[in-house]
Amino acid sequence: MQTPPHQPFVLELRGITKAFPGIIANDHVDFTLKQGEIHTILGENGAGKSTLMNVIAGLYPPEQGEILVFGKKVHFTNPRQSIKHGIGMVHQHFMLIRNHTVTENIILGTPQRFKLDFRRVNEEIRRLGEKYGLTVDPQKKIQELSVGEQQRVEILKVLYRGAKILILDEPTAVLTPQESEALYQIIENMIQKDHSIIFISHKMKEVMSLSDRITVLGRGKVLGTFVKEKTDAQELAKIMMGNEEIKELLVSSPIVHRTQEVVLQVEKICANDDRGYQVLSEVDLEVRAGQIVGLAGVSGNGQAQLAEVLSGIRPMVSGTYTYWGEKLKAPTVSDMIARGLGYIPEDRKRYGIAGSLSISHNFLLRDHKNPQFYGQQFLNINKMNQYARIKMQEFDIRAASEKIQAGVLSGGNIQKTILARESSRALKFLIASQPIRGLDVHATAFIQKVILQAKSEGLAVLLITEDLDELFLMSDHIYVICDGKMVGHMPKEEANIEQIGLMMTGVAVS
Amino acid sequence: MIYFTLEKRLHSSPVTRIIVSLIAIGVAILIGGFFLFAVGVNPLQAYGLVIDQIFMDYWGWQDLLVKIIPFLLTGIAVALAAQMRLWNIGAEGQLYLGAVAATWVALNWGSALSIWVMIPIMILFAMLSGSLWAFIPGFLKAQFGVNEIITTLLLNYVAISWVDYLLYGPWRDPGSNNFPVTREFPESAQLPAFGNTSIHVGLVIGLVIILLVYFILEKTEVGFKVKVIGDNIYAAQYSGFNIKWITLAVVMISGALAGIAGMTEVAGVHYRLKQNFSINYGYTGIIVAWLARNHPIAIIFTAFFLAVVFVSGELMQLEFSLPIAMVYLFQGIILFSVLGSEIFTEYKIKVKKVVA
Repeated sequence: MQTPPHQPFVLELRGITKAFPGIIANDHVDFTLKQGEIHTILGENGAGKSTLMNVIAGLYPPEQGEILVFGKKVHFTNPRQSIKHGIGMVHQHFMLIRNHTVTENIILGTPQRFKLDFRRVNEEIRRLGEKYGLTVDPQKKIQELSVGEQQRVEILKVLYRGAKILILDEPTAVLTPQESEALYQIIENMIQKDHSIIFISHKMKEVMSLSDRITVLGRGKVLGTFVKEKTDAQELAKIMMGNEEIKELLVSSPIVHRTQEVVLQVEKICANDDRGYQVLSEVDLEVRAGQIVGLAGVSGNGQAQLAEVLSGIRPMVSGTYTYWGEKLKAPTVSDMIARGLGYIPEDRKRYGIAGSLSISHNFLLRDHKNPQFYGQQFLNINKMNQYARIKMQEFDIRAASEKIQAGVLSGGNIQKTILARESSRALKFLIASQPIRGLDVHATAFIQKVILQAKSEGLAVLLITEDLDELFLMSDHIYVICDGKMVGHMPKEEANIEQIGLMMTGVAVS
Repeated sequence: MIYFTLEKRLHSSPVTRIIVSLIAIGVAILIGGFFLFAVGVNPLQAYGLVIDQIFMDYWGWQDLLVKIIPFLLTGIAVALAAQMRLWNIGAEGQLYLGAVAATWVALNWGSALSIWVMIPIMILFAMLSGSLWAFIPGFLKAQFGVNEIITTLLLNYVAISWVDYLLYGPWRDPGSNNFPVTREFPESAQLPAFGNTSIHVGLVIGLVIILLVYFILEKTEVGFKVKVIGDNIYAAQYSGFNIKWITLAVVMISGALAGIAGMTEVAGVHYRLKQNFSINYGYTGIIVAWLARNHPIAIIFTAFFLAVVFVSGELMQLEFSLPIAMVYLFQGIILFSVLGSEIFTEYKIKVKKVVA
């Protein structure tokens, strides 16, 4: 193909493919960015957005495909090369040195004269900031800045390096509404000054107000690219959630309509995150025996902390937690395990397993009192291995041996191990957080089948998910959480997918 | 262009590890040879001497089996803490404090009690004293997350100063011609030796403790918890383990074991507390644990290996009047080459051709 003399695209990706062991993160992705355009990339977690951005930023070289920057073919093998070509990435998690000044952070890694003239550089940065409306005092230390200001430093950092193409990875996820407004203005300013922007966000409202074009990614593939004027939030939500895909392996079980005993009831629970900021405000939730309650929400809206509160990992600040009719004050993890609570954590590799211990050993996590693992009084490795072998068979966990390290298992097998372990105790309540995220079709079907089976035997289940297919397939009752608040709940029959999608992104309230 | 890239091994088998470690030690001996050559010693002659006078010699073996004792104990002390990814650099100080407590018992009660009572009490006090010394960094770590590497290291200097104070002050033997040593322990406070050798009961104590630690780690609930906390603290949190308490307990037990090493040295070798009775035994414990990859049973072998290095060093001192610094130099080279070799146990080297 002949490239025209005047460049229509500042950035063009053709057939980008990037695979990781066991997963194709980007599958022949095509993408273009025009001069002065804001092009949004939309997609669930695990859709391949981050991988794609890292390919553009030079962190991962793609296995296949071409990258053209200003019409020139490029091969990035490290981030410095992409910066040289005018590409700058503003990461979601700031990469700043907290006890250094703004200026020091910005010039870090840039070529400077041998004798650093801080007054000159400070002035340079101040002027650059004024030009874009990125006001921040260059001499302040990062730790003295608000989150919004720190983000400005990150943007200044890439502008100082001469970036023409900016990648903003969920920039408003960490910002207050006011800070977000200010950021939109800054984005406008940058567009005025001939920059082009790739914007990543989950928030439909800002996507619809800022973008020129929108590309939807799903399972590593481009599901469609749309001009903003010719689409709407409903259509995008539907495509993003994969509603149009044919559902295989649908194994829905009959909904139990009988009124069952209330297993778990929380009222007005508030909790803080690790840094002490409130992440849950007055959350109500009720789960009955033989019922799957689906909790929908975009990741990071408090559902992880809610699961931690319910399982005893995180203390609640206020509110009441009633479990089988008993009011719990400050339950510990061991208390909750003893009360028959099972928990499949969202970050299964980080929380769910001890990666360098064997599979056999991993069956003891949260179950180390189980007499099946002991001889007279002491742990018996033969019994542990035997137990693991039985469970591996029963739950179709594929591994060369029960003695290998659990950390080398694939995501699906790790998840089956966790499920096998949690569901092997006498369970009364199961929290399953994003149980099928990133898993293949078979593992997904298997895990869903086990949970549905347990439900039909009377287990109460809280299913936390942002996959709306899963939500509708599994749940009997649906709650939606956004920004630490329950924004609505309804029986499944009364819910529709677009409505839920909009509620998750904070557009609508039931 | 051809690139060499490293690819993580899915499984690093124990056999590969042992082979790679042995090669690394071989390389260390080779490099050490150059240093010997540089100070004017014929390395072949020196190494020949080691074989002849240590491995082929009755007294040589006796020296080795005495020298191994503190290494067994400090090695297992460091390795136990390292099972939880805690770095006990303070074994040296805990060893000194253990020796102080044992000495106090020996000098104050020694003449009144029989050996059957004395030795257990001395061990007990040494453990108590070592663990209390380790309590300080352990508490700071568990409660406030203070880096234990710094605190344990700095407390070593404090402990050694304490011993100096006692030896130059209240505990100095009046009949020692002003040497900074205590009185000799009464016989009931001396660890018995085997037959006519100088190999004392500390050897048995060390081996028993190693087996005990191994058993606890592999066979008990608390050992399992220690391993999980060491591997993935988030999984431990998710499983509801009491991380703070276990951290504190492990650091204190580690200190107690190092304390026993102090006791066996003063009660089994010197029969008194004196300056520099420990030739960096606590620090050497770090190397012993590292070489053994913190595996209790492997510590028996690595402690023996370090004993060989020390006894050889003493031989070099006698034969070629080389300083003790040569031993430290050797330790350093061994540690470097074994740590460097880890890349081969964890990674495969792959050759990649890329068409530019």
